[in-house]
Amino acid sequence: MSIMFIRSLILYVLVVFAVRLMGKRQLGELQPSELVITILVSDIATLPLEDSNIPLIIGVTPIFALVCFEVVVSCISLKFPALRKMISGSPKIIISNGKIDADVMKELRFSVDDLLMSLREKDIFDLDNVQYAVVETTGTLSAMDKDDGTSDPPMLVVSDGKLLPAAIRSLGLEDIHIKKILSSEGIKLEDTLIMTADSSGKYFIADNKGNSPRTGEGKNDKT
Amino acid sequence: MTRLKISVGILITMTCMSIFFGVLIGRKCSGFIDKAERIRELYSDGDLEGAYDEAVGFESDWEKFRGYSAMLINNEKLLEIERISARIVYMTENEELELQSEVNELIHMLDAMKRGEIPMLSTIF
Repeated sequence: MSIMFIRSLILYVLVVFAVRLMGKRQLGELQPSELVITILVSDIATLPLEDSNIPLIIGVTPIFALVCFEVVVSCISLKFPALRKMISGSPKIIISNGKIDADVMKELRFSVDDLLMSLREKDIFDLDNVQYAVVETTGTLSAMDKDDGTSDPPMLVVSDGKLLPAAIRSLGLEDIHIKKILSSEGIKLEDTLIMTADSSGKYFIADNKGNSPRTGEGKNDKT
Repeated sequence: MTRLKISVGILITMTCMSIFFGVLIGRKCSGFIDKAERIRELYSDGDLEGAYDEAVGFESDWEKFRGYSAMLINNEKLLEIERISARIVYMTENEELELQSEVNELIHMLDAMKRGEIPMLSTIF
C-alpha cells in the first residue's frame, strides 16, 4: 500500500508538471490535439497505479513524450499556418450578414437544434438578431448580435507574415489590395503579425516589431 | 520559449536514456544467454558440478540485475526468469532430464527481452 501511495504522489507531481508544461491554453478550451493528449495522459497515468509490476518509468515516459511532442508541434505550427490548420482545423462561419450557411452546417454536421442551442447559450433567442456566428476550432459558437453592428466583424487577412487568400476573397478583395494597404502604411508583409479587415474597408495592422497598431480605411485601395 | 526548451530537453534526455538502457539491457541479456548456453554445454558434456556452479552464478547475477532492471522492465517478466533460474539450479543438483528444455525456455525468454528493447517494426507495431 505504501508503494502505491508513494507512486500516486510521484505521478501527481509529474502529471501536474506535464499539464503545466502544456501551458495555460490547456486549461481553457481544448483544441483537438490537446483533447487527445489529455485523454491519453489521464489513461496512461493510471497504468502504473493499477499494477505495481509496471515500472513507474513505463507510465511516465509516454506522458512526457506526448506532452513534449504537443509543445514542440504547437510551436512549429505557429510558424506554419498550414500545419496549424491541419492539426486544429479552422473556424467556420455559420451565419454571415444574418444568413445561415447550410453547406457549412452540413460540413460540420451541425443540426438546426445544435445551432439554436449554442445561440441560446449565448443568450440569443431570436435568429433574426444574429449578424454573424462562427464555430471555433474548439467546437464552441461565437456570435455577434445585430445590435453590435450592421456589418460582419473584421476578418484576419494576414497572419504571421502570410496572406490568407480565402479570407481576402470573402471580403471581395484581392491580395494586391492588401499589399497596397501594407505598403501605404510602410509595413512589409513579412513583418506583419496580424492584419484584419472588414467589408466596409476598415483595417487593423499590428507588426511583429512591437510598434503601435495602425488602423484606417482602405476602401479606396480596392479601386 | 521556455516551455519549448524544456520539452526539447526532456525529449533529448528520453531519447538518450532509451538508447542507453536499450543497449545496457541488450548487453546484459546477451551475457545471460551466453551463461545459459554454458550451463547447457557443461551439462551435456557430463560436467554436472560445473553446470551447477554456473547455474548458481547465473541465479545470483540475475538477482543483482533484477534489482535495478525492475525500474525499466515489467517485474512479472523478471520474476519468471528468476523462477526458471532457480529451477535450473535444482535440476543441475538433482540431474533432472528436463534441464535442457528449461535452459531452452530461459534462452528464449532472455532473447525476447533483449529483442523487446530494440525498436523494430515487429516490436513497435
